[in-house]
Amino acid sequence: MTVPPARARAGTAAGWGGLVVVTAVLLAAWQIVPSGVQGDGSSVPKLDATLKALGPSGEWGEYLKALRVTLGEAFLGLLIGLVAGVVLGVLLGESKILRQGVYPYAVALQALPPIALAPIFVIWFGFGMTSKIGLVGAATLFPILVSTMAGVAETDRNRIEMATAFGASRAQIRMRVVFPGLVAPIFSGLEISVVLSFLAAIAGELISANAGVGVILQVYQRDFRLAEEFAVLLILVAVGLALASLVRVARHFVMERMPDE
Amino acid sequence: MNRATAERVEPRGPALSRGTWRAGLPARAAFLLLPPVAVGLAGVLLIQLVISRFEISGVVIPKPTDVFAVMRSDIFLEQVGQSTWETWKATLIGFALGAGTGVLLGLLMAESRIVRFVLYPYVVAFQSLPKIALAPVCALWLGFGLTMKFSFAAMLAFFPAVVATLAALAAVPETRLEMAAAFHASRRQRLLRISLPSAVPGIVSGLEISMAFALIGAIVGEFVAPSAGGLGQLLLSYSESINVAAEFSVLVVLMLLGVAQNKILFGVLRAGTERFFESSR
Amino acid sequence: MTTTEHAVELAGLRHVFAGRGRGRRAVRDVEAVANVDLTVRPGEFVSIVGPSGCGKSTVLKAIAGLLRPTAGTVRVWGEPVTGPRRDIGIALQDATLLPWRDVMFNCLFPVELHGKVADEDRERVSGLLERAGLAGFESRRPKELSGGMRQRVAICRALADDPRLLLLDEPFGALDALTREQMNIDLNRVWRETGKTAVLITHGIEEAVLLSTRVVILSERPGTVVEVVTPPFPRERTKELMATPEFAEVCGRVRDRLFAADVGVGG
Repeated sequence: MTVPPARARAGTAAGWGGLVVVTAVLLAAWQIVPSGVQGDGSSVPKLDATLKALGPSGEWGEYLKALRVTLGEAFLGLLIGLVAGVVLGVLLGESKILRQGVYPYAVALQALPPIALAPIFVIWFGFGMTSKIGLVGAATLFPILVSTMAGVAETDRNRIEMATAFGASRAQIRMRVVFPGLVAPIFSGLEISVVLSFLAAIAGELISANAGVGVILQVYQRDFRLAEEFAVLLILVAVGLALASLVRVARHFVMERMPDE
Repeated sequence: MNRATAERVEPRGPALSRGTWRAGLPARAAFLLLPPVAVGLAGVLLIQLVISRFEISGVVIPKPTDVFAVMRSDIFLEQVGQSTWETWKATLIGFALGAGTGVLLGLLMAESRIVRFVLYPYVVAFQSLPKIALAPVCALWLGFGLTMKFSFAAMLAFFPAVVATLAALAAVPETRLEMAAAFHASRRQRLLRISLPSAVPGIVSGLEISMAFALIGAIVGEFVAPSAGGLGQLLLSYSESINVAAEFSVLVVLMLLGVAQNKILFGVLRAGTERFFESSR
Repeated sequence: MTTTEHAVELAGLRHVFAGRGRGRRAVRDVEAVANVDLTVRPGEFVSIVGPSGCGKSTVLKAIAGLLRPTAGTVRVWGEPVTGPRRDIGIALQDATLLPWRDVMFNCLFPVELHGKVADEDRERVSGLLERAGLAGFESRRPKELSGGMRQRVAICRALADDPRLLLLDEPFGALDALTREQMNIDLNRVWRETGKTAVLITHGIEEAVLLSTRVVILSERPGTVVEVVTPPFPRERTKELMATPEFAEVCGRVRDRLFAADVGVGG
């Protein structure tokens, strides 16, 4: 009676029925509405064409090659961003003066759309993977830096006092009180950065690259091979979902093994 | 019984740390401004010295003095003024469209569990698509002009607004809704007088993300669409002529635009709404 | 209104919170209230006390129409309860004031839900605020008030639409002991001066005895009425009363029954 609508659970028959109906209508519209004429400027590929491009006869060799390049860039860039972000975050978190001095710049740089750095990275590192790795590193650095820094700066004063009262040294406090508390903030930064890494890699490839998802998306668009274009987009949805769950599982795995928090 | 809500009852001194600091305003401002200004000056000076000392090419990193020189030139100012307005126009239109429909959909999903249940899988799927990948298709469908730019910006602005609205409405304190129910409030009254005002701070901080994404969308749209103009095209054209100092200048302008809209505009909005509606989180 | 009409009538009230899920993570059904019979006469102040989790709040929510009991009947002023009623005012443990409204508008909230706010509503609320010691605070925002003041505002809000029945669910539960005592004295005065019927949920024995014309003791979960104690004091209750041996004696009786109920069911 008083269950607020926003919180009600909805695994009801009506819910499932609605989902099935809506999905069926969408799929049917996808099959019927598009003209199916390739090269028609407003064209959307028909459902069966898209499914065919996703099926065994699709260009999986191309898709996978592109995906490997893009994911490679995303992963290596993320690694750079993660290491640099955590190291800088800890340094800045520990020193109040440094933090005060650098923080406004970190905030300002975060307000700069990272994608805008792409042309510069191309000038610096060329059309290959390196420029995209650099771009991903720059894009993923800030979320991790900011949340790590906040984590260090906001370590529970009571815990530090407790540890000091038991005679812990500064190094011990750092190792046993501050660092374990950083796992949660680092993961929440990582959650944003993983999404950003994939996004930045593709954006970099859209601007200039010789391989990767961004490249084949543009090639398929130019050649009006929209069935393949849509197939790649659907694959990207799947990869995006997989990456998000990977982070969730990793977070769960690590947090389960933490003594507290 | 609400044991968990008990802790919020005693009044907290608002911003005790700030209130206890009795220094005058000029002294306080100086203390806050000194470290960043010092770090900024030292950084610029260091970069300038290192570049001169090791004779690093201007293609790698332009000297800060070169960047300042570009930013003071009349041609640059004219170009950048025009381009900034083009980019921001697309950002604003895209934000209004995307965030507006996003908040409405979030409301609809929060209020109707059927709608929420049916749309949820689609929202999740779309959210995990790196939407930048849609830029080429958008250009194909919508051409290479303003329409494509603001549509793309709108698409990027849309999802953060949906998610934030849903989350903010789900986080409305149960006790407030129960209180309203006890006073015989209708469903509409509960939405308009309890849920929506309670959710305003959450929605506003979602809109801040929407606005940042709208700017990214506009820039990416300009990268992909050759006739779209704006700061994105300006960056690309400087990049083609390997004018790195000018590229850095554009980046500085873009950063200032980002700070102005994401931090200053929304900073004020957020502080205001949080003060008035008091975030429940 | 005839004197034979009861303000509240509970007969065979039983409520089970349905469990959910299956397997290891399942939540079992919980029987909160087993069998509660209770009548409240007009003008009475009835407190319901009992151990934690004995279903006190469930009883109150059933009266307020916030929850449909599994079995039994609930009548308010002779009518079966089907949902929240306009002539009931309620205050909960959490003051739940709306932070974006000032004190006056928070109090007027129930009034404006049912139509336009008239001048006489404002005057009535001003009167209530004055009686609650909040005169001059009408345009303050909740965050500017202390915890005790917020609870007083919540009680004024409960009375703002001039309800015939006042329901209070541990309204002072989160306050410190001294504030709580003062609030009790204030509440007693407001109750006497407005002549409302009131039902209070509490686990404070002194509070119940100090405020009530009758104290209803519930057993441990699932709650049933184990005894009703009638404090033999006049309607006006004072701090001095609390120091008398008679007061201590009544409290002792309530406490004994409470512990007996606790051990009896638990052991």
